[in-house]
Amino acid sequence: METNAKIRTPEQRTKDKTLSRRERTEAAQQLKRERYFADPRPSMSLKKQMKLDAMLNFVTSATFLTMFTSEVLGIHGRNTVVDTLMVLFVLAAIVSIAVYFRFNAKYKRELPDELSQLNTLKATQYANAIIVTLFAIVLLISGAATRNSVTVGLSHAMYLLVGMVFLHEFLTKILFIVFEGNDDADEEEE
Amino acid sequence: MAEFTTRIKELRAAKNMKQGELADLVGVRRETIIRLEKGQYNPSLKLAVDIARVFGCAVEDVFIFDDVN
Repeated sequence: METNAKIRTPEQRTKDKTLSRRERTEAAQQLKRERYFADPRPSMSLKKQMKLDAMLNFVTSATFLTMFTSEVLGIHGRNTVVDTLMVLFVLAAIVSIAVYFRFNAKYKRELPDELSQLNTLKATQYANAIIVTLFAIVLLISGAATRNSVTVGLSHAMYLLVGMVFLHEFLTKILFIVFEGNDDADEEEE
Repeated sequence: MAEFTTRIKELRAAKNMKQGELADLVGVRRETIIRLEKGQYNPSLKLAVDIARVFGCAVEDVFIFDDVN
């Protein structure tokens, strides 16, 4: 009953049009916190969430980038190594999706705070720089290998775009884990 | 150049409070409290005030800036 009231009050405030946008945003944040504390499931730390997300992003990115490479090079269905890799990545993606949903059902996700938001911002900026650099390197190499003429079809470009988006997400999660460091051993035993 | 230190660990020990408990009270993660105790993270004014309120003292009693110069 008390928990319901704790949730209902900020819930009503988020819908109250007489309040300013800032007050409604604060109420939404409070609502998230109250729902988090009311949830009886064990908590999954932000770092573990990032590891889970990184795994899913990596296999998805690898699948799309392998598809793109095999299509552009015209070796799709003719190169056993690339074809086997693609099947393995698709299988890994299916397993990752199953694991992702299993963990999300079993655990509640720890809420981000000001330090994690700062680290996410930093990780995103680094990931942006890495993606741009990687893209430039790939363009330079393809240009040199094909005497400056590469033809990429629209469907192939879609593979590349989706692969790059997931690669960017993967890098962001990994960099976030690096910036967060390892503080697990610092809790006092009482 | 100001050197940043905090008395969070000391005040927490006096209240027999765990890092996780303080984190829940001020709405941050335990990792953030660890960074604050080590002086590795400069908190927002809101977080500094929230922490000071938990310990019932002024912000400058919890967060100390020693001017090196």
